[in-house]
Amino acid sequence: MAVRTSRTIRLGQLGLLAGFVVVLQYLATSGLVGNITLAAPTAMVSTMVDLLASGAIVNDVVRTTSAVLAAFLLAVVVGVPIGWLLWRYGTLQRVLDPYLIAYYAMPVFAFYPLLIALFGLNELPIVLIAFAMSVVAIVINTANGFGQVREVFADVGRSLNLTRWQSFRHVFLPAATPYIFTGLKLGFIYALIGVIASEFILANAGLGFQVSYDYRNFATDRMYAVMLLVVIFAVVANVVLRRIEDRLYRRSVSR
Amino acid sequence: MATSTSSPVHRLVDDPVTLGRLLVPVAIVVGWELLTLLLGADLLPGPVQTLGAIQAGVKSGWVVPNLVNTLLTIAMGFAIAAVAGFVVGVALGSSETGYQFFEPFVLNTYAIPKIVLFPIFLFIFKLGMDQKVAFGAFHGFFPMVIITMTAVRELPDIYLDVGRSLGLSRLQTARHIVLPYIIVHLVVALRFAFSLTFLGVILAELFAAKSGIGLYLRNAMSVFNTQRIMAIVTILMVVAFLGNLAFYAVQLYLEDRWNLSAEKVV
Repeated sequence: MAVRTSRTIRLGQLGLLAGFVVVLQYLATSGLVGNITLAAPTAMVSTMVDLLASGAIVNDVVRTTSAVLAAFLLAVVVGVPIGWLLWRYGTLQRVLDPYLIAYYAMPVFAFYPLLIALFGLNELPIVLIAFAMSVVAIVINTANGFGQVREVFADVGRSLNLTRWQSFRHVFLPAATPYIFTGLKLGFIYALIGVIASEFILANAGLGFQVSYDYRNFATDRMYAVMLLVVIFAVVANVVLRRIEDRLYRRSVSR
Repeated sequence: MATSTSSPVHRLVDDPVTLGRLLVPVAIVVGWELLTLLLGADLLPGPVQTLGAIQAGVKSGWVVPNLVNTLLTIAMGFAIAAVAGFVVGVALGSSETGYQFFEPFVLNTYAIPKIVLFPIFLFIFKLGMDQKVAFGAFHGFFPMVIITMTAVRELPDIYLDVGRSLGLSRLQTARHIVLPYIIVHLVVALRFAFSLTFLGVILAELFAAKSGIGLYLRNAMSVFNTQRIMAIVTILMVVAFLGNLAFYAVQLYLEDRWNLSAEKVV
């Protein structure tokens, strides 16, 4: 029964998506919407394939993905230890809590122009902005994750006379992993948003830059093609990360 | 009741958390000043020069009208995001099929760097206030939906059963059972909606706008006027911080008063 319902829903979702594509196709090809404004989905896909196959935007794909990965890895290396420290020293966490929450809401993006003035128009300001947007989610969720570890688990560790390192390695870290992963998932998404947004506003390469460049040059097909590529990239990343996250939580519940 | 030993200053020293919280802004300003000394005031204007630049900007008349314009845009976008997001969030949260059907669309759209869709907003709304409001609202809408939807869904069935056994009407159920349960989550949702609307409006102004503080940030950027950049960044940070703090204060008050909690972070 449940399987059937979920299958019906899947079909319905696909139907909605297909309907959306058909409407776009109709709007673009019937001339209801001008071809400067909207590209037909078929044109978006064929242009996207051309751009990738001809290598025209391979450089931008590499630039964007490397910036996202650099920012994300930096955020993990910095964010997880800080999150752990905050949990370990509860007073510090209580002191910083309102600021961490506020920082989350800061338009850190506003610093981008300053970073360009400081470091020039290259990848460094982009990576720094994406890092700044990504790191807080990791810090907050790591601290929260260690905080969620049940007292019983810690007791078992104590009764087994584990050393501090052993209990961290075999008790706290595994128990906190799903929560930490939630932070990593958000951190990755924010890093992606940070990189694309920076490139879109001011850059000389990257997928975000391509969209804004094509917009300014009325290259509508190209613009929508790159837009589609970014959307696909973000959705695939999100779906994969959510799958892993679900699995981690389910495993931790069943244990 | 207050004795001399519990003067505000004494209490502060006894309470390291409050003391620490008050010291954080001081530490930020000191760190900023040190960074200025390291990099030179031309590259990174210090706190004093920045305050001077803000003062000069206010005097010459570009700060206040543009800030008001931006804040008004944010307020409109936020209002739309909050109302629409609340309605959709409640609708999806209270229907299992609706939730199953739309959840992937909502969550995946949230993950898309919405800035790449910005040209579409320019096509539809043209250059002007509408485009900024719409883009801001588009940013704020999704966290509002997600948090509201999750909160409504997590309402334990037993609460609704109690309502049913008491013979409450739909409206009474909403007023006396659903609302009190989700109110803290709503405040969190509003905070996120505010923050993302803020970001959306600033991004819109940085890319293409005819007015607003973000446009001035862009202009300052194109001539590398670091004093003006820092002035605007500081203003934006302070406004975002205060707006955020207001929602956070309401959240803490509700958590304290009604012993509720909301830890979920989008």
